[in-house]
Amino acid sequence: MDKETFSRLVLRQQRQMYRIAMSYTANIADAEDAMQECLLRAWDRRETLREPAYFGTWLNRILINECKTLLRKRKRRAEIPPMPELTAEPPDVQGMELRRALFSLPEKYRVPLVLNLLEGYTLRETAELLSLPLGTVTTRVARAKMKLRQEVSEDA
Amino acid sequence: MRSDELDRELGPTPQSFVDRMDQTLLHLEEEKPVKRIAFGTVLIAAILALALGTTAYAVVSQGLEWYYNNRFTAYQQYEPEKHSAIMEHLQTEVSQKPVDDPDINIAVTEASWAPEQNVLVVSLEATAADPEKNELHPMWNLDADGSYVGPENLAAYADDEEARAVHWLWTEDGMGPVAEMVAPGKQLLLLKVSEVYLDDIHLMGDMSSTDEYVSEDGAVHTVLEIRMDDYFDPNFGERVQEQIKASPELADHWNRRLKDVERFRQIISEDEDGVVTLRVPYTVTYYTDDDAQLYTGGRQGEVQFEMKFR
Repeated sequence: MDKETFSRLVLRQQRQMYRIAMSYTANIADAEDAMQECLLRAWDRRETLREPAYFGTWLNRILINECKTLLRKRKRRAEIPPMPELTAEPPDVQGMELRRALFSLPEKYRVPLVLNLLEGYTLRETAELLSLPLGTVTTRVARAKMKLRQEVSEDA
Repeated sequence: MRSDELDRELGPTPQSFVDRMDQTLLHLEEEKPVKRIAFGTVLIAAILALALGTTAYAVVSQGLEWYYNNRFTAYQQYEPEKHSAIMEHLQTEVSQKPVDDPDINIAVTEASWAPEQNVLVVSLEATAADPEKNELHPMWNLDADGSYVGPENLAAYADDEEARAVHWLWTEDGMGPVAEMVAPGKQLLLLKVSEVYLDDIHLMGDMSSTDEYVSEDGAVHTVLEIRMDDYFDPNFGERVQEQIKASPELADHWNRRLKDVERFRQIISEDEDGVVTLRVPYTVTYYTDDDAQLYTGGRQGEVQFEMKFR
């Protein structure tokens, strides 16, 4: 795959990469670090991608691994829970509550929710991306939705 | 919770992210990009504790009235008008087709269509057909806390202190260990019920929910609550167009949704009283250590019952 094709495919899922990286890191600087490492690794390994149609999933899998690696490093550094550091303010109070609730979810619930609800991966695909049993991912997504619902309705 | 809402709350992609991606792509062949130092951010510790306390056994089960008064009491506290509407329209005798299942007895015990709140509630009860041989539990209870990662993945999740190679149901907090939980010689059966259909239309709405629990007599209860706002909103078509305009990439999703809503309306208009047959598919699975078989290998069944929507 040449650089132009690679870049075009990457740019097509820029937004998706941002959402996945943010759902893991809840921090723009870390999200950018993970994205950059992901692109470098993907570029190095581009010859291992046999089926170009799966470029998106392949890249997301690398991104997820980079996010996990980065979080492991961060964890060794400090046990501080991340908080969202987003540039734009949400448009309304309800939105603010939703954002707060989303980022108050532990990463293990937030990430499957984002992959399933936002990125459109099925529960089975999400399970494969995260290397988790299907039942566990099903539970985590359901729990994440339940928790968000509870948080938002209690704050309403 | 809709995907577009969630997307909006993540905010627009920051310019710094876009720039960094552009720079990385630009330098792919020439030189390795200099890694920007990720400055520590001022963080406020505010992660909320996850409510893991799924109640496995209910003390007494007396249907939906008991359910909303004892197990799920949030409506009484926060939305009393919704609670009143559900109770007011409660149907305790639901017309349904008997289910012939070799492993379980299952039926809709109560249902409520509360048009003032656009809420549909369906309550089902299931028991093992041969309780001497089988013990029935909701599939949800198998991994209620979502910490099961499987023996083969445990090493990969070494950083997650909660990750486990055993199912939650086998733990002390669940009901296990399994050797004590299920009587000797018995087989564990798992029931999954989570969706309601009209014809092939999957009825769904924001804030819909499923709850499953086991009563003292061993019956598995499932309460499905579906928000039907979209199906009865005369402006839904306009809302869909607005959504498509705001997020063109979700056009297929919204068009499918609109088609479903229109078909739902057409079907309920065909009966003079708005009575339709709803379907509740379920899956019964014999417990196995093989995760792939456990989560995808169950046997399908279906409960059909009548509901009046007008």
